Amino acid sequence: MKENDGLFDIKHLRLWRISAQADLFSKIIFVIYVLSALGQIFKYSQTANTQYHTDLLGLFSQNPIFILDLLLQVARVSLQGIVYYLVLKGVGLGLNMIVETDINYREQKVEGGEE
Amino acid sequence: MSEEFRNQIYKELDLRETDALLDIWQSNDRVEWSDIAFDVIKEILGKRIDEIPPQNEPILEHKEESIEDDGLEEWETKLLDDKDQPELYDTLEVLSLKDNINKVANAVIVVYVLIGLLNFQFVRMLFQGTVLSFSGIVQTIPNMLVTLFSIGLQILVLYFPLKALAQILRILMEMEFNSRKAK
Repeated sequence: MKENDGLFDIKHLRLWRISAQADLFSKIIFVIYVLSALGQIFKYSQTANTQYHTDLLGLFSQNPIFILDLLLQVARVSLQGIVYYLVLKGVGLGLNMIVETDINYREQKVEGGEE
Repeated sequence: MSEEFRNQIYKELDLRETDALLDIWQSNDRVEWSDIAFDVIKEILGKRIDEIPPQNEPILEHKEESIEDDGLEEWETKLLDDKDQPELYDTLEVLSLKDNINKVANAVIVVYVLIGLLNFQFVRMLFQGTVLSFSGIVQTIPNMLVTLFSIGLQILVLYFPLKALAQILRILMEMEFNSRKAK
């Protein structure tokens, strides 16, 4: 039925590759979002400079709500990064589990055939 | 009545495969299975196999405290304790990922609700030390409704896929575990 006798065939290899790529992308995206979360601080600092003509600490002392605002924006962006990270990681592990399940059943079939 | 009950148990257990009955017989779990059930299993096994293997020490109570200590469910402990571990993924990694997904799903609700609250004008004004009048609050109602809708939508879009992913991972792991047992 199949060209190769091995249990790990080309379809499994494809899924395994996608899984490895998802795992890699999850890490890259996580780093990007951590940087983006830090970028929020820079954005607020720029706003303080251009609109209020002060620095970040000056802005916070003038309007304490900006502290909460900034913290929540950093949390939101970080959370988005974490969500993408977990989803990609989950997809990668899910694909590996599918491959493992299929190989287990194939192994069982081969063993059944030999008997 | 007792005989009728025994016959009912016999019929139900007789439908099970010999391996499954042997597992029950050997595990000797007296909490899960009654004395009558073990009598019946012995009778069925006696008819199916030549020699009935000895039973383990009887289990008279389930040790649930270790499961609670680890924060793992019973099936998760079963997966981790299994000798035949998968080659392509790490069981513990999946379990901790599932756990983290559930935590992040809850964190999403908290963070987005706080963001929503901070977007309400009267909350912002409270932080600035001024209280918005009743008529002022009424005027902001349309804006509040839009904010509520937008935040609710963002929570739904993130919360449900995350919960679904955690369940999918659980089901896939159970399927993989069952395929191992089928080997």
